[in-house]
Amino acid sequence: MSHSGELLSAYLDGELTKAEELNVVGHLETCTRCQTELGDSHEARAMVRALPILDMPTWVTSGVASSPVELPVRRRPLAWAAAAAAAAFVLVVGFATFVATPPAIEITFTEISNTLRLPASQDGLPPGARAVVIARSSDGIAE
Amino acid sequence: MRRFAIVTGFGLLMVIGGAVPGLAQEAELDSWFERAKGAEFSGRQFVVCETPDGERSEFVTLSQMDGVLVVDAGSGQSVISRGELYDLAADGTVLASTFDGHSPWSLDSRYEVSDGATVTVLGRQADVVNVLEGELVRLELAFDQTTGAVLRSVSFNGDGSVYCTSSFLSFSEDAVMGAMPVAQTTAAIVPLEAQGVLPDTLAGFGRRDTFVGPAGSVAGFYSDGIFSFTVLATDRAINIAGLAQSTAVSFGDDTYQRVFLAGRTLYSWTTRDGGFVLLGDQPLDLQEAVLAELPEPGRANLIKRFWRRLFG
Amino acid sequence: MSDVGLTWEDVARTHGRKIYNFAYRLTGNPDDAADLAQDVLIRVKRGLATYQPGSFDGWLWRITRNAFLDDIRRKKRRPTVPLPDEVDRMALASVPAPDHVLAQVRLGPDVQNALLKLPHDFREAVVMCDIVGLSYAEIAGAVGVPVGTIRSRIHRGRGQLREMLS
Repeated sequence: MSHSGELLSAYLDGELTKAEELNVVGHLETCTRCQTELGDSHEARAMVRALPILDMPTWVTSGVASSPVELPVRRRPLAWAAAAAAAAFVLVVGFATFVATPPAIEITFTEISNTLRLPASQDGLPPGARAVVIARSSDGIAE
Repeated sequence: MRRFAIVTGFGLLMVIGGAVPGLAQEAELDSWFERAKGAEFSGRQFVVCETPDGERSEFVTLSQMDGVLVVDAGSGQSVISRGELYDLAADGTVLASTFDGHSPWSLDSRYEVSDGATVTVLGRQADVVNVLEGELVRLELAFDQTTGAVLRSVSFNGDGSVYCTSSFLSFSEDAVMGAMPVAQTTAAIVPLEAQGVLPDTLAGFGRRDTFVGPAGSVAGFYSDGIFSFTVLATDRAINIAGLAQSTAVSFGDDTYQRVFLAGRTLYSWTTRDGGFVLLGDQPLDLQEAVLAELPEPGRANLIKRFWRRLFG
Repeated sequence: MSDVGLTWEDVARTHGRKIYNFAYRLTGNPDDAADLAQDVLIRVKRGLATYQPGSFDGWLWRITRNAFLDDIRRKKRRPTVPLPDEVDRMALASVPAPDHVLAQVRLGPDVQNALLKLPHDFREAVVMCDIVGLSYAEIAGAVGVPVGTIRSRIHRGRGQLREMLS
C-alpha cells in the first residue's frame, strides 16, 4: 500500500473526507514511516501554533479612520433590468420613441481584450496553454 | 472553523469513494502549472494558428521572474502579475488595469491528464503532458525539466486537427526584467454578483467571474481549466472600434461577425435584446459550441416587440 | 458574522488582530506588519461600499493576500530573515515569567526564522492555517488554487519546518 504522504497533515487538521480518513487510519496502524511523518507534522504544527499572538498597534486603526473613502465607479449590476424598465416606461409615454432604435455603443478592441486578459492573469498563468490569451499585448488588429 | 477528525464506520467508505480520481487529475495539472508559474526565463515565442480564414501568427518576447511576466509583442509591452496588467505604449504612457475578482482555477471533469514521453525542445529535456477529452488530445504541453516553463503548447480541434501552436524559438534561464512600471492611469475592473444575466456554464465552460465590462456591459469570464473566453452582453448593439476587418460567418441560420487573431477569436452579433461579444482561445469546434448556447443573432419584429413589451 | 451593515471598525475589531499576525508571520517585521494591516483595513473601508454579502472571510483574506503581494512588488524585496533579536533575549533574562510563557517566547524567534525560510506559497498556507485558523477550503478560496494544492503546501511546509527546527 502506498504511503499517506500529503494526506497526513490534512488528517491532523480534520480536513479529510471520511473515506480518505479511514484509509489513512488503516495505513497508520502498520506503517512506522507514516507514523513518524505524522508525528513530525504534528510537532511542526504545534510549534507554529505556539507562536505568541501579538496585539495590533493602536495607531493602525487611527490611520484608517483618517483615510478618505474613494468610492470606485460602479455601475448598477443589473443594468439590463433598469434598461428594460426604462424602455417600458418610454413605450407607454409615446409611440414615436419605440420606433427609434437606440444608438449602438462603441467599445474598443483593447477594452474587450482586457476583459479576457485580466481575469486570466489572476492565475499567474505560464506562457503557452492557458496563457496564450494573456500573452498577447499587441492587440495587433486595433490599427 | 477548524474541525477535528472523527473516525466512523466503514459504511461511509462506499459512499464517498468516487470523487477522488478527478481531483487527482486536477491537482496533477495544477502542480505542473504552479511550477511553470514560478519559472524564471526569457525567450522569444512564436504563436501560429490554423483558421478557416488562413494562418494567423505572432512573435512575442517573454520574460518571467517572481511571478511577473513581461510580454513584448513589438507594438508595446505588457507587464502581467496576478490580477494586474500594465500596458506600456510606445509613447511612454502606462495604463494599469486591476482586477480583484475571485476565480479559483479548476479543471473540467471531462478532461483527463496523462504524462507522455520525454522530448527534446531547443536542445532541452522536456516532459510532455497531454490533456485528453476521451480519446481526443485537446492540449499537449511540454514542460522544461530544468525550469518548469512551458516550452511548447499545441491545442487541437474536435476533429483532431491542430488549432494553435506556441513554441519558443530561443530560451534562456535568465530573466530580463526592468523596474515595475508606474501607471499614469489605473482602471479597476469591478466584480459583480449579477446572477441570472449570463449562464453559469456554456458548453462545459464554467463562469468563474462576472464583472462590469466596457461601456457598462456585463462581462463573464469562463474557463474549463485549459481554455477560456469572455462574453460581453449589453442591451444595445455593439460597434467595435479599431477592429480592422471582420468577416461574416454562418452556423446554420445564425450569422456572426468574426475575426481570427493569433491565439484568439472574436465574434460579435446583435440579438433581439442587445449586443454580444465573444473573445476566447478555445479551438474551433468549442467556439461554435459556445455560440450555440448563447442568444442567437436576429432582429426582432418591431411590432411584435412592441406588443410583447406592452402586454407581456 | 452577519454581513449586513458591516463597518470597517467592525472588521478591525473582529479581524484586525488576525490580519496583523498574518502579516507579521509572513514578513517577520512588526513595522511592515502594521503598515500592511493598515493598508488592508483601508482597502476594506473602501471595498465595503461595494461589498456584496457573501463569503466574508473569502473576501477579506483575498484582500489581505493581495495587499501583501502588492507590498512585496512595491518594495522590490522578498521577506528577509531577521537577525536574532538580542534585545528580547536580554529582556527575558531579567523579567521572570511563568514557564509556559517563557517557552513560547523563546520558541518564537526560531520558528519565525524557519517560517521565513519557507517558499512563499508554503509559508502563506501554513500561516493561514495555523496562525489565522482558516479551513483548507477557505485558504484555497483566498489563494485561488484547488484544495488539493493547499493540502500539499501545508504538509510540505510543515515537513520543511520540522527539518529546520530539529
